[in-house]
Amino acid sequence: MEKIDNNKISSWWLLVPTSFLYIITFFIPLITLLVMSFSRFESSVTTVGFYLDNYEKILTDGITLKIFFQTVELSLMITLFCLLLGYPVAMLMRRVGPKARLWILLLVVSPLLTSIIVRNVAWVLILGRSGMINDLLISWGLISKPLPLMYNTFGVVLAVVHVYLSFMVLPLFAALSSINNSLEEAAASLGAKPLSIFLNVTLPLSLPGIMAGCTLVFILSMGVYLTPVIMGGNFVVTLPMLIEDAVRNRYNWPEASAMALLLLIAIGIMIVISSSIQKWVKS
Amino acid sequence: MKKNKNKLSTISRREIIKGAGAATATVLVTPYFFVKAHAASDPKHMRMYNFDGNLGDFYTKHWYGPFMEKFDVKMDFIRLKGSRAPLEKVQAQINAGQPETDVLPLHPDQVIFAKRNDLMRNVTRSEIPESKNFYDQFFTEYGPNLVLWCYGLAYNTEKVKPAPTSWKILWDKQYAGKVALNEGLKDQTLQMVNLAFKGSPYPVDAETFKHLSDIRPGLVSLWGSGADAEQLFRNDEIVMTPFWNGRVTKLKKEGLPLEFATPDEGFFVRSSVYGIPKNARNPEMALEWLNWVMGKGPQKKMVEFGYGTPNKLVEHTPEEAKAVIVADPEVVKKAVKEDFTRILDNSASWTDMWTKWKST
Amino acid sequence: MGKKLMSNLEGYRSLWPRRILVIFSSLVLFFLTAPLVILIIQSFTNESYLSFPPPTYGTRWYTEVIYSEDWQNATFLSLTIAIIVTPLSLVLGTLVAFGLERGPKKGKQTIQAIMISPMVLPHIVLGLGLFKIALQFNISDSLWAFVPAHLTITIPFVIVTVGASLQTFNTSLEEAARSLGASKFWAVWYITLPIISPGLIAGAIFSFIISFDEFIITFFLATFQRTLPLEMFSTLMYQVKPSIAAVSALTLAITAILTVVLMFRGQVVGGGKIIK
Repeated sequence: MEKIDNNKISSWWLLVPTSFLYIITFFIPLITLLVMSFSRFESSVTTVGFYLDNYEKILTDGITLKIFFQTVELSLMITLFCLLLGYPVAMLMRRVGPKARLWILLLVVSPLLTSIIVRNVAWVLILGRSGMINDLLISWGLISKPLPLMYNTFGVVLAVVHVYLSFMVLPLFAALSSINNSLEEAAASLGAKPLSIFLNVTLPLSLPGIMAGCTLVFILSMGVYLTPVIMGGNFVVTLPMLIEDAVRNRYNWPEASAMALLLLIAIGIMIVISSSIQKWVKS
Repeated sequence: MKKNKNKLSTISRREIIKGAGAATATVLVTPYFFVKAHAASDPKHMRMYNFDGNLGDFYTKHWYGPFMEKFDVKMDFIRLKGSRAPLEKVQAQINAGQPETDVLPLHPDQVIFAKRNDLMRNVTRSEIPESKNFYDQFFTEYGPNLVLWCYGLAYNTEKVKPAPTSWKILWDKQYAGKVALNEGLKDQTLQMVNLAFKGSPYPVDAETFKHLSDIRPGLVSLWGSGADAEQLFRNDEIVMTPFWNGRVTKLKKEGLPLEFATPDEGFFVRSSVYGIPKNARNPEMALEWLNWVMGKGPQKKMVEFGYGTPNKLVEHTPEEAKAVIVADPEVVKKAVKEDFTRILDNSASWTDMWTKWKST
Repeated sequence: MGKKLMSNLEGYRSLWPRRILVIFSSLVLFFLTAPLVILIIQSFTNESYLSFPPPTYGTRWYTEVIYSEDWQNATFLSLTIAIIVTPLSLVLGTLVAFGLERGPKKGKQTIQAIMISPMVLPHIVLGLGLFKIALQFNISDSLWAFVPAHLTITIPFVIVTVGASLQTFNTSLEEAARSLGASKFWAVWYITLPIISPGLIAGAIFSFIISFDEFIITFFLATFQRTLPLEMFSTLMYQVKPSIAAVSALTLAITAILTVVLMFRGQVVGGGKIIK
C-alpha cells in the first residue's frame, strides 16, 4: 500500500479554485438534475418526489437503451477513424519545421472555425445525390446510380470525424512532442527498423496522448446531435437527440434528466476503465 | 535553458497584459448589460419575440413598427430560434416570476401544456374589443389565434406531373429516392400517413408504421426545419415533401418551380395563440397590442404576406386567397380537425415508436 | 506550401518512411479543407441562397455582414467572452492537471473523472441547471452568467490536454533544476511549462473555440444578448443564408492572418523551438 505523504496531498490544493467554480456551475445543477430525474412527469405536469418512473421507462421501453448502445458504437467508430487519420498528421507535425507545423495546425483546427450548419451544407454539395462525387463517378461511368453517401451513418461519421479530428491531433502532437528524440535515435543506432521503433518506442510513449485524444473525441461524439440531424437525415439517432426531443418538444425535464445522468454515469465508468487500462499498459 | 527563460517571460508578460485587458473589458462592459436588463419596467416599454428572415421583417415592418409609432411605445426584441417559443426555458422564467417576453405565441400543443401548468394569464373578450370581428373558434381563453398556416404537399412543378391530389403520391415508386418527410413535426407526419391510408388521422399504431416502412427506402431525409427542406429543394435532392404554404409562397416568389397542394384525404391548418404569460412585466401594453394587431389593417397585411387570418372583415384578392388557402370555403372543408390533447399526451409513445421505426 | 513542407522535411533527419507520411497526411488535410474551400467560394455568391457554383459572384454578403449591427454585436460579445474565458480556463485547468498529476495516485482517477465530467453532461441539461441558478441570482443575459458557464465546459479540455503532456513529461528535469536551488514554483515555471507548452496551447485553442462555438448553454442564459452561434442559429433556422458562409469565411481569414502574423513575429505556436 502506497503511503500518502503530505507533500502529495498538498498538491490537491491546486484543485480548490476550480472546485469552487464547479460547486456553483456544475454540482448544484447536477443536484437539480438528480432531483428532476426522480420526479414524475404526468399529463405535462412535473411532480417532485421520489419516483423511479423515468429510469424504469429508459430501461424497459426497449429503445432508449438501444439508442444508447448505438451512440456508443457510433462514437467508438468516430474515435477510431480520428485516431487512424490523426496519428500520422500529429507525427508529421512533430517532424516538420515550426512554420509548416503552424500551417498544419491551422488546417486541422479550421473546420472548428466554421458554423456546423454551413459546413454540412458544403458536405451536401460534395456527397449529395447530385453532389460532386456522385457526378464525377457517374460521368466516368463507374456507377450508374448515385451512391448513398449521406443521410446515413457513413455521412454522419465522415462529418463528425472532419470536425473532431483536431481534438485528436492536438493532444497527440502534445504528447509526441514531449518524447525525447534521442530515445528513437538510440533505437535506430542499435539497428532497429522504423516500424519496430514506432511500435516499441514511439507508440507506447505517446500513449497518454492517444488516451487524451480518444477521451476527448469519444466524449464529444457521445454528445453529437446536430450533425446526425443534417448529415444523417435524422435516420441516425443518438441519445442526445432523444434528450433534445424530450426537452424541446415535450418539455419533459424529468425524463431528459434521467437520460443525461445515464449518459454521465456510463461515460464516467468508461473514463475510469480507460485510465485503468492505461495504467495497466504503462506498468 | 536561457533561451527558454527569455521566451517564457515574453509570453507571461503578454498573458498578463491580456488578462488585465480582459478584466478591464469585463468591468467596462458589465454595467451595459445590467442597464439593458433593467430597462423594461417602464409602462411604455415592451419585450417581444420576433422571428428571423422574411417573417421577422414582416413583423418589424407591419406588426411592431406601426404599433410603436401609434402608441409611442418602445419595444425590445428577442429573436426566436425557429417558429416555436422556447417553452422549456420560458416555463422556468414564468415560475421564477420573470418571463422574458410580454406576448407569448404558442403552438396548439403548447397551449395545452401551458394550461396544465398554469403559465398564461386569462384574457376576456371585453379586454380585447377587436375580438368581435374574429371567428369564434379563433379566440381562446388566453388570446387570439393568429397566423393561420397550412400543412400540405409541396412539389416541384417541373418534375411532378400531373399536380398531385393525394398523399399517396409520396409512396409512388416513380419518385422513390426523391421524397422526404418531416421530422420536426412528426405528429403531423404520422397523422398524414393515417390520412393517406386509413382515412382518419388516428390512431397512430403499428399499421401507420408499416406504411412508413414501405416508404422508407424511397426517403432521402427526415428534415428538421423549414430551412433544411428548402435546401433539399434547392440542391435538387427532393422533388416533393409535406410542407407549409407560407414557405412555398416565398420560394415561388424567389423563382423556384414549386407549388403547394392540399390533398383530397385532408390537410392541416394550424395557428398560434398569442397570449400573455403570467408575471409579464407589461400586460396592459400587451393587451393593447393584441387588440391592435387583431384589427383589419394588420391582419390584411398578414394575408398579403401569405398567411391566413381569422378576422371576418379582411377581404382577399384571388391570388391572396389561393396563397393563404383558408380563404376558400371549399378547400377549408378538407381541413382535418386535429386533437391536440391527444397529440400532446401521445407524443412520448409516438416518439418511441418513431425512433424504433427509424433504427430498424 | 507542399514544396515548403517537403523542404522542411528534407532538412529533418527522419526514421520513418516520410513520403508515405506526407502523402497520407496531405490527403487528410485535403479532406479537412475541401468543404471549407467550397464554403468560401459559396460565400462570394450574389444570390440570396447558397448554391454551388454560385450563378453570379460578388461581395454582397460580406458587405451585409460587416455593416450589420447585429453581426457586429454578436462578434464582439463572442470575442469578449472567449477572450475572458481562455486565460482563466487555461490557468484553472492547468492547476487541476498539476494537482492531479502530482497528487497521491490513490483516488486520482475518480477525481479526474469528476473534474472532466462537465464535458460529458449534455449541454442542454447543464444549460437548464445553470439557467435556474442564473435566474436566482438575476444574472442571466450578462457576462456574469456566460463566463462561468463557459469556463465550466472549457476547463475539462485543458485538464485533459495538459494532463496528457504532464504524463509524458520527464520530472527528472524539474528535479534537476530544484537540486540546483530553484524553488518549486520557478522550476515549474522555467522548466516544466515550456516543455508541456504544446499541451497548454492545445488547451488554450480548445478553450477559445469551445467558448466561441458554444450554443445551447448560452441560448438558455441569453435573452437579448446574442453570441455569434446564437445569431447564426436564429438565421439558419429560418434560411440557410450566404451571410453565414461569409461569417465563417471571415473567421477563417482572421485566424489565418493571425497565424501569419505570429509566424512573422517568430512566436511560433506549438513550441517548435523549445522542443528542438
